[in-house]
Amino acid sequence: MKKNLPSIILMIVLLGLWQIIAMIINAHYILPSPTQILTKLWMLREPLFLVHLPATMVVTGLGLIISIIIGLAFAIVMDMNEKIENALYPIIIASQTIPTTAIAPLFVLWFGYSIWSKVLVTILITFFPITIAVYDGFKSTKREMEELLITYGASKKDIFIKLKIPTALPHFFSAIKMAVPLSIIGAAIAEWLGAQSGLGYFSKRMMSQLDGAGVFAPIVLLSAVAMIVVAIINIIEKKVITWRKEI
Amino acid sequence: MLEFKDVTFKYPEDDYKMLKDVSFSVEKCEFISIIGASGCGKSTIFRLINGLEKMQSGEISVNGDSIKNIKNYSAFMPQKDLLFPWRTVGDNLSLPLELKKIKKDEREKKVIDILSEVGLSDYKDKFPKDLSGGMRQRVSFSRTLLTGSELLLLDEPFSALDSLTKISMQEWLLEEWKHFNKTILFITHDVEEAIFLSKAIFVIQDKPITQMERIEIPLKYPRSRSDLQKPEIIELKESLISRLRQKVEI
Repeated sequence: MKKNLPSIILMIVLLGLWQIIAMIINAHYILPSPTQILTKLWMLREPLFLVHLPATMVVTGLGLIISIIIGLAFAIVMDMNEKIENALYPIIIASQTIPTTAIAPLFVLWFGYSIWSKVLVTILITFFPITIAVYDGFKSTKREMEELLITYGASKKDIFIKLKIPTALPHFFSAIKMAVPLSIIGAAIAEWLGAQSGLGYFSKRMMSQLDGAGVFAPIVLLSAVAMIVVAIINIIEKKVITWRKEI
Repeated sequence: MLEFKDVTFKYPEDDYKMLKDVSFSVEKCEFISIIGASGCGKSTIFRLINGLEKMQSGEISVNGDSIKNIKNYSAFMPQKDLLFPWRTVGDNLSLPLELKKIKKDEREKKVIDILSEVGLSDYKDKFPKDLSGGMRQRVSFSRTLLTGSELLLLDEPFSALDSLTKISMQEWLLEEWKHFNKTILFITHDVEEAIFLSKAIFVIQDKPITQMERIEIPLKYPRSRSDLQKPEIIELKESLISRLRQKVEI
């Protein structure tokens, strides 16, 4: 708590400033105040929490799980084989230059308004940090430790399981902490561009009604979810990784 | 026990040879130190023995068999303890046994036995970060022993320790060597350490290494620190230091 105190104070100051500026401007359709957003969140609690939040979470969850699988698979094969690494690495980097907002409507064309067009956008944004962070984790394995295992008669598989995976684990947790907010952003963007439910879709609908507070309410909700999930991952990480400073 | 016969070796990235037609041998249960200036190729000799580098020509054999045809003939203990921080002391010790696919019950028994032998029974479930430098080296040495190899290659294992811990560890190592009856090849920069521990010292003076001059230490085991004050030992120490200093570049 003591450690978080400066950020809590800063947050309160910024929210206070926001409130004052919004009250001075007094145009809630352009800049709603934090209290107006909270009021809207409470008023729309049923559709937000019971319909749109679950819809976004399904897209986020599926996107995140598939991104983890793809990210880990890419990192593992690139670590195992230099030729695959040379072939894949530039393509993976190139995939991040694709403007997501431009390609998402294309996914809607391909997959319609089904969940998969949105999951695909989420994956496109999310798999990258997982691949790169875990791949770097494998590469950060100490050469001396690897050689020690070789002198013990370890096979490549032994080295991977007993050395590379534990070495890459802290990198994996860092990757997940980056991936969670990104997957939520990915899902929201995809819903904004083409969906029939979800917080992104809800925000867009409110936009068309010039309801500033209604646009912000789902965004606040998404931020809160991201913060809660990252906090849970932090707790798990602290329990699992006790050796981060030792490597 | 160990024999080098006309071994020549060069790292691919270098344009000079590290070893050129080097021959030497070590008998079973001997404690032999290798001393030489930094970068002279002491560690390369270990890398060749444990198969991490491939020689260009010559033959290295252990108990008469070429190392190309045998496995698990040597165990390496590096300068840094290289204990895996995510494993407990017990699990670190268990590592070479796991790689040999030894059953869990047997592994557990061997780990408990060795921990009691090295006086660290209470530390089985601790993590390496909870251990002092000397304790970590004792665990690292125990892990080397648990490989089951007869030939132990110790690469400056005590160089990072403070001088008092180092002295205790040297005495401890001699006791363990006697107890386990192993052949030890020990790399060090410290001439006094080499004299105190070894039956004989190989001195490396040339680069590339062309010969390993063997110098017998005129002391019997068991030894004590006071033996180092004998006039002939002081004379030997000074002569070795002055020979090595000629090769030191600053």
